[in-house]
Amino acid sequence: MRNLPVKGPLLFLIMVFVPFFLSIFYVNLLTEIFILGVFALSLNILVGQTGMVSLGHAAFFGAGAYAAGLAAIHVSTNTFLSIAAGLLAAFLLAVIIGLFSTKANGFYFLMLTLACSQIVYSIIYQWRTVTGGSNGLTGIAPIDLGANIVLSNQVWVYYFILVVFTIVLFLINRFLHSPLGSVLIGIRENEERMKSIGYNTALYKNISFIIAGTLGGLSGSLYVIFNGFISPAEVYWTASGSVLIMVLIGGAGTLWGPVIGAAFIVILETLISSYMENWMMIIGAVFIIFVIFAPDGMVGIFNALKKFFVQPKKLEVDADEPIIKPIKQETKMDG
Amino acid sequence: MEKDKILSLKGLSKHFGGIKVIEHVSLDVTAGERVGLIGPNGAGKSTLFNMIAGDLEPSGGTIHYYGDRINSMPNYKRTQKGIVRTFQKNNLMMGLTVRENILLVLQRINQKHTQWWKQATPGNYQLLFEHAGSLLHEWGLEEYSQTKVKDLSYGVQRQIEMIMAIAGNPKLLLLDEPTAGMSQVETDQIISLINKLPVEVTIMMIEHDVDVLFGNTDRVIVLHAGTLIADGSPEQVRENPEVKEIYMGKEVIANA
Repeated sequence: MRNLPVKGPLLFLIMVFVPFFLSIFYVNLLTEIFILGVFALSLNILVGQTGMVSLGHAAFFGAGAYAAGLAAIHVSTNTFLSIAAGLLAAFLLAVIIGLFSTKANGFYFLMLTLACSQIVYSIIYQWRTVTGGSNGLTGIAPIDLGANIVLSNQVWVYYFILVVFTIVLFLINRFLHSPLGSVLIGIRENEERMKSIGYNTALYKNISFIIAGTLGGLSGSLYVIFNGFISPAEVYWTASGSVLIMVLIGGAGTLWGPVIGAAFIVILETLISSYMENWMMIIGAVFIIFVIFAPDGMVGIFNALKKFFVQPKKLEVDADEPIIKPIKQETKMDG
Repeated sequence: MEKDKILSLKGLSKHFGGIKVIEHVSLDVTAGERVGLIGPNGAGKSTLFNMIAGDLEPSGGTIHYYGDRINSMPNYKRTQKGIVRTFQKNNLMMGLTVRENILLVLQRINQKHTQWWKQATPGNYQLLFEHAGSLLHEWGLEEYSQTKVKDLSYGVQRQIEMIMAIAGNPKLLLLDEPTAGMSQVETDQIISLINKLPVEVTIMMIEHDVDVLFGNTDRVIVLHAGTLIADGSPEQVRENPEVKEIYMGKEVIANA
């Protein structure tokens, strides 16, 4: 993103060399960050870009994870087949849930997505013969990339997920600022006005919901490839709340915000959970602090700091623009 | 013959509960006409616009656009077909820049709005950005191109409303008090730019500034308490006794 001092290709290179320097514990931590990063990026399309706050995004993560896992168990351990199954399941679920939940706005949209995701949760929880119920889906064999390249080594899983994450980030970077992306931003800003300049906003909200849901399914299937296991806990509404917190703490509507948020929560969780059990309490407190003092998230803080430090330089750049702007402000008071 | 009429209202009514805001309004508008709409506050002018633009569904009567009945056509479809409106109160994407607001209109007109694989940069969408630039240049607002709309004065926002309406390739342009809250200079600028619009663009304009309205339209319609009481050239309407009574009466009360 232009506003952030992050250079994409450089960061990618650093990430490529990370496994040579860090222990497998940290490599796994990074893998988890990338997976949840994709998850948060997908929710950001809905929450940050289109302005539709969903509390049911875990349903798509779950649909993708279970579909990918089931495909690996019952059909083939090919990675691409698993991912395709995950994408398809999440896509279909997003079409169905989007069809009626996008008709509602604001609070009602949030409640509808929450209700729908809890339905998905209870189906997964109770359909024991297929999903394994509360035991979760076990016995998923290591995934292979075809041609007998088995992703059994966690470092290879790391590289595979890094590549997928990078592709997703690259595409979302384009999408976020594309004409279609700007339609979604327009809806966030003023949906009624978007209708009156000729946009069928219901359609675009559905498109946003489907893209977000399908990408959520992608992160779910990556999770299964990484973890070899999925349980209903990842589909419960607290998982939806957790990813929403990632987006909001990182910075909704920005490219890097959701990724930074995901990294922050994953690291915080790992650090705190080794000292105390109630790590959710700390994350809750952190979230409250962010909502009150930094509503634009961490990216908002970065931008404010950057503005603060870069200001003197900026004045030089603007020097050749006219300092006194023509006054266009004299409005008359009578209607 | 139906096709000459760009807009045809027959017995159009709008009731909110028991309140009849618009009652049996019938009128035809020919393509290229410049129609002014006046009436005291609460006469139903904006409600009439809302029904024509599709923001409100009529309680009775019909709306025909180029001979097609459009009573239940959603507002975005009417906009796509050329019925473009501005709002009495500024209604823009406040958190976006002026240029982004205008581009949202231009990208739809140019069928680029479903592209998701390229960033909307001047390099990728040269024609759109040039068009937006030339519109801003024409209105003398280039300096605000990258400014967020919410940081601009009411008058400038009002002008952006106009630019967005004009950028939308209107066939029937509905202007709801385009000069409300603007300085004399800005009012003159807006009126001269409205007059520069292509002759084939049909314009209906609600305006409280009667001098502006009578000087720049070739037909004036007067609404009073939801009914149409006068329809004719500015001169005819000015001499209409009923219209005089309404406006004189208002003045007497105002002075009392």
